[in-house]
Amino acid sequence: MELVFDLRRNWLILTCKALAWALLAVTVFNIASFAQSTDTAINRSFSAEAETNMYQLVDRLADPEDFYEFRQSRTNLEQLGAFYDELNEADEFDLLSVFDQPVPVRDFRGNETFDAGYGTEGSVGGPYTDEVGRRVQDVKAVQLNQKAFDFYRLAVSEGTPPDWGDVDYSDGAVPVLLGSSYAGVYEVGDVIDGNFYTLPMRMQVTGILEEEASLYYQGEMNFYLDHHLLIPYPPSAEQFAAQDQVFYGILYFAMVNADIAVPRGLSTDQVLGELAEASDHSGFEHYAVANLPDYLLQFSLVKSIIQDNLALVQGIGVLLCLGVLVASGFANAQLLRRRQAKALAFWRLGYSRGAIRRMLLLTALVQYAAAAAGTAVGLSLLPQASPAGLWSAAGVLVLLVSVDAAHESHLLRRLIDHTSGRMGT
Amino acid sequence: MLQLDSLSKTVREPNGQQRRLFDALHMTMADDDRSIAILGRSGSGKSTLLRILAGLDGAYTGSYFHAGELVPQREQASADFRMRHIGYVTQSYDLLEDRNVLHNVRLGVGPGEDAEERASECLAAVQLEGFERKPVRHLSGGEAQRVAIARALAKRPDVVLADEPTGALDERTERSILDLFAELQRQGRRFIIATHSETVARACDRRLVLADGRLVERG
Amino acid sequence: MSGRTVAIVGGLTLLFMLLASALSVYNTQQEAITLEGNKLYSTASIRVTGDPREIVRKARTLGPETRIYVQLPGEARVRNLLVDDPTGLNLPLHEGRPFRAGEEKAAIVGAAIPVVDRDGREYFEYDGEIYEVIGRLGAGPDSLLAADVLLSDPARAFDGSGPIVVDRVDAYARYVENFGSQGVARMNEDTNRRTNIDFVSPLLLGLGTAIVTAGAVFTGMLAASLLQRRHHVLHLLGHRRLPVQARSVGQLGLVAVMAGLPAFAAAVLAGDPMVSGASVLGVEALVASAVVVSFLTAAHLRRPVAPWS
Repeated sequence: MELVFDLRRNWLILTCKALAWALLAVTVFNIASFAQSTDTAINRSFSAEAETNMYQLVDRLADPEDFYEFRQSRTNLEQLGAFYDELNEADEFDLLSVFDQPVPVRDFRGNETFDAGYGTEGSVGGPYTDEVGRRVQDVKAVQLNQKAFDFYRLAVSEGTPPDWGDVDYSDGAVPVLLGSSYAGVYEVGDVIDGNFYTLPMRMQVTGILEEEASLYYQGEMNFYLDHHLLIPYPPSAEQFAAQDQVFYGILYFAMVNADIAVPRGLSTDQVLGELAEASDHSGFEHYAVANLPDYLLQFSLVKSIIQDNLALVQGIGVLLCLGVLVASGFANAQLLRRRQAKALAFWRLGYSRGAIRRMLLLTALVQYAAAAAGTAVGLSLLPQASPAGLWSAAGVLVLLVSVDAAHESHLLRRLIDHTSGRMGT
Repeated sequence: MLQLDSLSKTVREPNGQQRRLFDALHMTMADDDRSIAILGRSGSGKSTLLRILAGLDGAYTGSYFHAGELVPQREQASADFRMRHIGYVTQSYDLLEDRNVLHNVRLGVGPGEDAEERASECLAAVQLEGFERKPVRHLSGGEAQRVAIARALAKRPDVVLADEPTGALDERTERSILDLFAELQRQGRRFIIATHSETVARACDRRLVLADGRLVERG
Repeated sequence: MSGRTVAIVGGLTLLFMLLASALSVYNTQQEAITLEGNKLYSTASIRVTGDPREIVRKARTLGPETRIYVQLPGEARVRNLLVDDPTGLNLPLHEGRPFRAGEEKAAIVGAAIPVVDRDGREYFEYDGEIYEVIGRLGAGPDSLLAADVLLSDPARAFDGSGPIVVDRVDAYARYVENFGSQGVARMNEDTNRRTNIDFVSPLLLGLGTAIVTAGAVFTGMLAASLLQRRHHVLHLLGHRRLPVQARSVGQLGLVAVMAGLPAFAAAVLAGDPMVSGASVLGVEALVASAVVVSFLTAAHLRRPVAPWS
C-alpha cells in the first residue's frame, strides 16, 4: 500500500529519473556500437601492417607513339610481364596493382550511380548502342591484384573472393566481385557480359564486397568501391596467345603501374635496388619510381579523424553519465525530502532502518524496472545490433542502480542518524 | 470595521455532495470591538470564515464590507486588501523553516517601512528579542506562534485573524499567548480568533458561535 | 530564495548548462571533423557538372545557407566558397576566424600554404590578386586540409574548372527537385562512411538534448517545489501572485546567469576559433528558458485549488 502512496506522490520525479536513465543507457549503447564500428574501420583500413611507406611505380612510355611501338614487340611485353612478376613475388614489399578502368557492360541492370561518369568530372554517359548493335553502358570498374586485395583487407559480405590462382582471361571468362551497392542489382552466380579492354568477357559474380570497402588510389585514401566492379588480375603475367597481344599489351602496362607498399624499416635505396634488380632480370627498363609521402600522411590523418571522433563521442558520453548521476543525486535528495515525514514516522513507530529502507527500495525497484523497460523500448527502435552495446547499456544501468541504491540508503541513514541525534539531546 | 452581510457559501464534500456551509450569515466587527472569538465544532466552517475575512476565499455570495467599502472577491484585488488591512496567523504558522526569525517577520512588513527595524519592533512586542538570527526550525511551538503573530502585526493591520492560535500549545504556553493578545489589544490591536478553546474565547470581548451556517452571539 | 534553494537550483542549472554547452561544442567539433575528413564538404553535398555560370546561378536560389565550392584553375587546391549566410558552417580552423557574411577578398588557408606578410597581416596570392588570410584550415597544422585554400571572392564565381560542389541540407533532393538530375551526383569520399558516426552522432545529440531538456524541466519544477512554500506564505501575507512569481523568475534568471558563467568563461578563455562564447551563451539561454518556463508552469499547476476557479 505504501508503494502506491509513494508512487502517487512522487511519480513525476521517479518518471524523470527513469527516463533519464533509459536515455543514458540508449546513449551508451550507441557509443559502444560506434566504438565497435571504429574498431572495425581501424582494423580494416588502418592496421599497423598498412602503416607503410608508399611508392608509385609508373612506366616512362608517356609518348603514345613510344607506347604503341613498345607493344608491338612480344619480347618487350614478356620482359614487362617478367618485371611485374618479379615485383609481385617480392617478399620485401607489396606490389599493389590497382587500376580504375570503366568496363562496358551489356544490358546493365543498375542505375546511373554505377555509370563511369557519375560523380566525376565527366558526365553520365548512360546506356548506348555499341558497334554491333548491343545496348551497353560503361560502368565503374577497378582491376587489381591479390596483393592489393589483401593489403587493403577487402572482404566479401556475400559469396566468396575469387580464386586468385585460377584467374585466367584466355577462355573469355573471369570471376568478379561487386561493390556493396550492387546488392539487389546482381546476385552471386550471375554472369555479366562485358568487354575488358579489347576482349569480350563473361564476368561471373563470385561475391559482393562489404559495405564501405575502400582503398588508396591515386592520392585518395577514401576511394570507395561500393559502386565498382572488381576484376582480379591473373596471378602472373607469363604467357599469352599471339592473337591477344593487343589486349595483354594494354593489360600489362595497367598491371605494372602500381603502388609499392614498403615496410617502414626498408630504405628508399633498398627499394630502388630491388627494382633495379627486377629490371636487370627482366630486361624492362622503362619505369620510374616516386615516393608517395601523402599516403602515410593521409593514413595517419584519416585514422586520427576516426579516432578523434571516437574520443569526442566517448567524452560526451562520460559527461552525460556524470550529468545523469549528479541529477539523480539531486532527485534522490528531493525524494527523501518528500518522504522525510513518512520515514521518520515509521522510525518513531519502531520500524527498523532496514524495514524503512526496504519500503523505499520497493519504489526504487519500480523506477529501475521502468528505466530498464524504457531502455528496452529505445534499443528495439534502433536498427543496429551490437552485443558490446547491449553489455554496455546493461552495465551502465547496473552502475546507476548500484550508485542510486547506495545513495538513497546513505541519505536515509543520515536522516535517521540526524533525527536520533536531535532526539537524544 | 468589518461586516458580513447575507454571506452564503456552498462547499463540496469529499463524497462529492454539496453542503451549504454558510447560509445568509451576518457578522459585524465594530470599530470599538477589540477581539472576537469564533467558536464552533470541527467542520463548522471557522477556518473558512477566517479565510473569507482574510480575502483568501472569494467564492461566496453576499457582501463583505471593510470600513464601509465592499471587499473585492477577485484574487489580485483581494490580495491588495489583505496586504493593507489584514494580519493572518494560520493554524500551522506557515513560517519558512529554512530561514531565521528575522527573515520571517520581515516578510510581513508593509511597503515604505524599514523592514529590519519594524521586524525588530514586532519581535519585541511578542517578547522575542534576541531571537532574530535563530533558525525557525529550532523554535518551540510557543515561540513559532509568537513569530507568526509578530509577522502578522508587522504591517500594522486593522485586524489580526488567528486560526486556532493555541491549538497545539500546552496550558502554560497558551496562557502566555493569551497574555500577549491582551497586551496587544491594550496597544490598540484588534483580533478575530477562530478557536474551540473556551479559555481563549473567554479572553475575547465577544464570542460568536458558528452553527448550522450562521453566527450566533454568545454572552 | 534561500541559500539551499540557490545551491540546488544553481547546481542543477550549472550542470545542465555545462552539458548543453558540451553538446554544442561536440556538435561543432564533430561537424568540423566531418568537414576535415571530406574536403570541407558535408555528407549531403553534391557534385554538379555543366556550365559553371548556370550551376552557380541555380544553386544560389536554394537558400542563403547554400555553400557553393568552385574549384579554381591551377595546381593548388584553391576553391572559391560562395555562401550568403555562412553562420551555420563550422569550418575546421585552428587559428583565426571563419568568413563573415558578405566578406570579400579573404582567404582561409592550410598550414602548408605559403603566405605573404605585409604590415603584420598575412596575404595569399592567387592569379595576380591578393587575399587577406583570416584563418587557418584544419584542426591543427598537420591536417588533411594543410594544402587547401578557401577564397571568398564573388568576382570569381564563374571561374570554375571542373564540377561545382553544392552543399546544404538535402542538397540532392532540393537541387534535383528544382533543376533536374542532369549532371548531378552525390559525393562519395567521406571519411565518416568508414564508421557509423553519421548515424550515431545525431542520435547522441538527440539523446543528449533530451537528457538536458528533461533535466532543465526537472530543475524548473524542483525550483517551483522549493519556492512553493515561500509563494504560499507571501500570498497569505497579501502579496499578489504575479509580482511574487516575477520576482522568483528574476532570481532564477540571476541564478542562471551565475550558473552560465563557468561554461561561458571556459569558452572565451579556450580561445578556440571553433568555440565561440556567443554560441555557448545561446545554448545557455535555451537551458535557462526551459528552466523558467517549467518553473512557471509548475508554479501555476502547484497552486492550491483556488475557490475562484
